[in-house]
Amino acid sequence: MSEHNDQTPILEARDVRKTYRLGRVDVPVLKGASITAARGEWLAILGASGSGKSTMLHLLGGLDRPDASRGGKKGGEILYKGQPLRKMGARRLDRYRAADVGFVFQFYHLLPELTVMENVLIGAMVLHGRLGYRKRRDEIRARAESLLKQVGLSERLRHRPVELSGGERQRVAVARALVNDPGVLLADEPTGNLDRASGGEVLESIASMRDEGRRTIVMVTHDATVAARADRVIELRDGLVVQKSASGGVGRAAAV
Amino acid sequence: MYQGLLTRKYLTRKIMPLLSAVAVALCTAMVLVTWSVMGGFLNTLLTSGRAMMGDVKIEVSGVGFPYYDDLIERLEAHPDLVAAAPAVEWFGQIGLPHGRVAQAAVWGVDPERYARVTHYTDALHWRPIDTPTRRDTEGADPRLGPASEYFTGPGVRSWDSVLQRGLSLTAIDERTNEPVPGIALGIRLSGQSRPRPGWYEPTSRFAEDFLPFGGRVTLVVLPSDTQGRMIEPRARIVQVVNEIQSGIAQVDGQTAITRIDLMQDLLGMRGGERVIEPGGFRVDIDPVTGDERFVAPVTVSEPSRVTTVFVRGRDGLSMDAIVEATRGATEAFIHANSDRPQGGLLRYLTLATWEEINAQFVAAVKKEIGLVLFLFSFISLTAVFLVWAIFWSMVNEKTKDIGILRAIGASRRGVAWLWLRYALSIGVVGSALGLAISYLIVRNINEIHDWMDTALGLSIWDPSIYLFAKIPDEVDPLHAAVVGLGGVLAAIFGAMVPAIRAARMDPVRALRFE
Ligand SMILES: Nc1ncnc2c1ncn2[C@@H]1O[C@H](COP(=O)(O)OP(=O)(O)O)[C@@H](O)[C@H]1O
Ligand SMILES: [Mg+2]
Repeated sequence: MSEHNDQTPILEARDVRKTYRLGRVDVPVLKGASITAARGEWLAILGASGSGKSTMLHLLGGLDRPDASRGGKKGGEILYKGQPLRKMGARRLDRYRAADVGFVFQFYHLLPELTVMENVLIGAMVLHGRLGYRKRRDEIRARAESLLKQVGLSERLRHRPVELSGGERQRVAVARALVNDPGVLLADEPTGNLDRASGGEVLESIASMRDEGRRTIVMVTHDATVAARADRVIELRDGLVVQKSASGGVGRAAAV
Repeated sequence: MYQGLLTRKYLTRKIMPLLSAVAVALCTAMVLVTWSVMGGFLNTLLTSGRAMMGDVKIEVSGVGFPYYDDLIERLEAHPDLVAAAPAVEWFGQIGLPHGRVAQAAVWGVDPERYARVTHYTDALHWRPIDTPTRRDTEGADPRLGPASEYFTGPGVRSWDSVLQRGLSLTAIDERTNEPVPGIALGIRLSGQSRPRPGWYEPTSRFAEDFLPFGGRVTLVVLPSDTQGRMIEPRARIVQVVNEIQSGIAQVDGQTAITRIDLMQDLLGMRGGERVIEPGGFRVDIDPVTGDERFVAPVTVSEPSRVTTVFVRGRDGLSMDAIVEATRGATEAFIHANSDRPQGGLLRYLTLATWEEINAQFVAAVKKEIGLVLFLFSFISLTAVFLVWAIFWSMVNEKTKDIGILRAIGASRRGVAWLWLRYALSIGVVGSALGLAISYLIVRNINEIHDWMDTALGLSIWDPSIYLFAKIPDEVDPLHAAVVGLGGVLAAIFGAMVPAIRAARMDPVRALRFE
């Protein structure tokens, strides 16, 4: 971390390749894609369905690894604050997912047995373990409550996910992703399953979590209007990243 | 931390974990019930094997041996031995009313000394009681009414005096008003108490001559002389003074206990002067002087004999120590008496503990328990497999949760622990339930058995096959602990593979799982 400074991108994908194996056939999904997300930036990755957006996000979040380098083909690197994830041990990588990045998924992925509040708290429980959690309990609860208030759900703390609408669930997911105050929020089609109005509310929630520009957001979507909310839009096509816009916006994105 | 939260939620919101808890509960209950009943069976067997004979039996069967009072004195002088009692053990016939005959082991005992060595006092059936006996469904136990309703003979005023007659084995002869030896029959020997499998039914329909209430039986024994040759059978009519309910089927069904002096009389074991030169006084002529002189008959003084001495050791002392003490006293006794008349019989003295006497049976039962436990533990693998199957499907069902947990930073180890912890809770809940169930079953097993008997006509426990009237109904806390722990381990064991599978899951695939 010592070599890290403000100019270093907080999250970077360098020539990343990802190949799935279907039976005997290799299916290359990412073929050397590179992404750079600067600190505090809201970056949108636009791409058609099946273009590898989720795959890219999973790689960025340390849930999956790029291809291993074989022969002349390099698998590429994911770097967090200049540090390659590949070099992190399992423990560090778990911690990375718990503390440094937060995930929001298209299908909310809340735990159905837990209440809204518990769904948010569980992220902190995973990070801190029993003792650490006990020690910071009040502080964590206060943060969870404030996050839920921020996404407009302070009246629903004891409800279970089935009792919420899709938009509300997704806003819980946003709060959960941020309970440990990660530097990066990774959102995989956060509005993909929602109508325009609810989707708008979710985007509002995400926007409100930028924390005066200190939090980086990497959001993937197939919807150009959604992508337009970001500062910058890049496009994933044929396994490669195509730069679209320096500052985002539908009009300019469409003009390229 | 989160494992605890999720475990709690999964447990209360799903039916599957309940099923696995029930599986664990049933298996632990099954094993513990078996263990308790079979273990209790062995224990009852052991303690009742001791109940009517004490710890150690010294005997010369058949001819018996003399000078037993000296032996008893030496035994009782030993600090490790509490009491010793002489007995004559023989086989005989009991002539019952209406010409019926029962074969029986007939023991002649000195009742006071016998009661100090054994549980004789507790075994006497006709005695004062103030609450109805278990199984006394009709509330018709005659012992709850006044004794005078049944006894008209001299010396009987209350149930307490009936008990006393049993404790002294003495009746009062109606014509002479003299004390005479009485006999206590095993409660099922006379066949008059109409036993049903499982209990001794209260006798509400007495025949006129119901034996325990002053009836008489004919005791017939076949004596032998000191060389073991049979002599003429001897018979004596004796009054029944009580009945014996020891809980040991063999004793209750085939044994009669009477006074030792009566048995010694009948069997020629009572000592005294005996004429060996027949013809009484006669006149002899001195061949040298031709003088006539009176010659007295030649007599010998014979010692009394018994076949058996029962010995009881100090409570809590090991069997080895008791045997050691008994052996020492016996050897000193033999040494001091072997040169006296008939002292040669002492060479044949044998010494056996109650465990040795019951050894074959005890070993058989122990083996049986081992086998049953093994089988049931084996069956309990069912619990392991059930938990395995249920956890496998729960892990499947919760695949997405696993992916989510990994995405928010849970480690593989943490996910494995989630399932193991879950299994632990199910094991604890299941085991606790199982222990509670088996406690209820075991404590009420006799009632359950009675109910099955009356409602379904099913009688599994037959006291003429087993040795006891009552099914053991104690749960050993140690056994309960072992079985409970086993249940918990079975649950954890069953969850092991599914937990490993959950831990190894690729989080991305888990998240994409539909
Ligand atoms: N585990 C897998 N095995 C094989 N192919 C996969 C696997 N996961 C994803 N793919 C394929 O990779 C491609 C990219 O998937 P994904 O990253 O989900 O695209 P997107 O999120 O842009 O719709 C798709 O064609 C998908 O079928
Ligand atoms: Mg996708």
